[in-house]
Amino acid sequence: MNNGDRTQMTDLELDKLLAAASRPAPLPGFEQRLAQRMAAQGAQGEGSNVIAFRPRKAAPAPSRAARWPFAAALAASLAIGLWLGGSGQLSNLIDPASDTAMLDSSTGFAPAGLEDLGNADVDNLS
Amino acid sequence: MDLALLRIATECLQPIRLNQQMGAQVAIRTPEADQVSDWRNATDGILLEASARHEQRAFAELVSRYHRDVFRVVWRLSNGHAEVDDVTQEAFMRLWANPGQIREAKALKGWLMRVAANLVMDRFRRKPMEELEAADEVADSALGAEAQVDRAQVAREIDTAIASLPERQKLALTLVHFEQMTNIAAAAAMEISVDALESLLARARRGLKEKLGERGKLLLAAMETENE
Repeated sequence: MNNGDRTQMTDLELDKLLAAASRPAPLPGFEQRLAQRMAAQGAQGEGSNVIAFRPRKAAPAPSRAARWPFAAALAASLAIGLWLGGSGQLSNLIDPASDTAMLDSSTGFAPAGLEDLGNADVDNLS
Repeated sequence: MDLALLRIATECLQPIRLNQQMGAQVAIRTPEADQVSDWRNATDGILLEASARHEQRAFAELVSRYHRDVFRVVWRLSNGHAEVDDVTQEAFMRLWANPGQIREAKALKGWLMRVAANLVMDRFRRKPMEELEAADEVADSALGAEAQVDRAQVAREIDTAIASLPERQKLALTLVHFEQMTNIAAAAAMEISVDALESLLARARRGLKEKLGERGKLLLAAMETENE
């Protein structure tokens, strides 16, 4: 125990030793080296980080034969749309019974607890 | 009426906006920064603001003010690695790339220290730091209890003992002891609480005492003999 106390350094002794530690300094010309590196990186960055745009290839024009099927399909869908809209047949696609069924199912709905509120004795609330 | 109010508000808010927008890399010219002819007398805040506009002379002045401090921290953390100069340059290049990262001018030194420490840890985590490891063996074999010790050898042994500390303890000791930063400033630079910093410092000092042990007393005695 005593031996340990003798070998243990005090804070003052440690501070004296730390004061003797190296205090290195950069080599002269640090600013110049940094400036050169920044200039080199700036010049390099301008060239390497920018990717030149390539002109986009024009989409190939569809051949004359390929246009007719597209045009026929477009015309057919347009004709069906006009026929459905003009003759009022579109309403047949919707089942009118579904609306009334929805209304029926929602009439019995109410938030839970409302019946209990109706029976509460308001005068006796404390 | 509205236009007049707007103009008055704009003029009043100008200095505040400068500090806030530095973070967004928007450099607003203030009269102080425009009137600077000699950057050596300018404050860090003015220099940072000018650097955000890529004013090279202002940035050179910042480098001139702080490169020795950053170099010492990098040297200490990397145990005197050959790439110290390179890492120090890298820290300043980060500053040049985005000076707006520093919200307050007084935090500049701490910011540089933190960036430098992170760079050292990133770079040397992959490469082992060997520079000061060899000094330990030389010292052990060459020095006996009665041997003459010159100051350079004492410094080398202390450097080696510091190099053996864990990274964060070494950084805390470097900032507070060698760079004379206050505990508050060092804690801010390390992004830890002051209590945590003090704990790191206490462990670092205890570790050094254990590492140096009796040898430290011999080194002290040798230093005193040399001084006489």
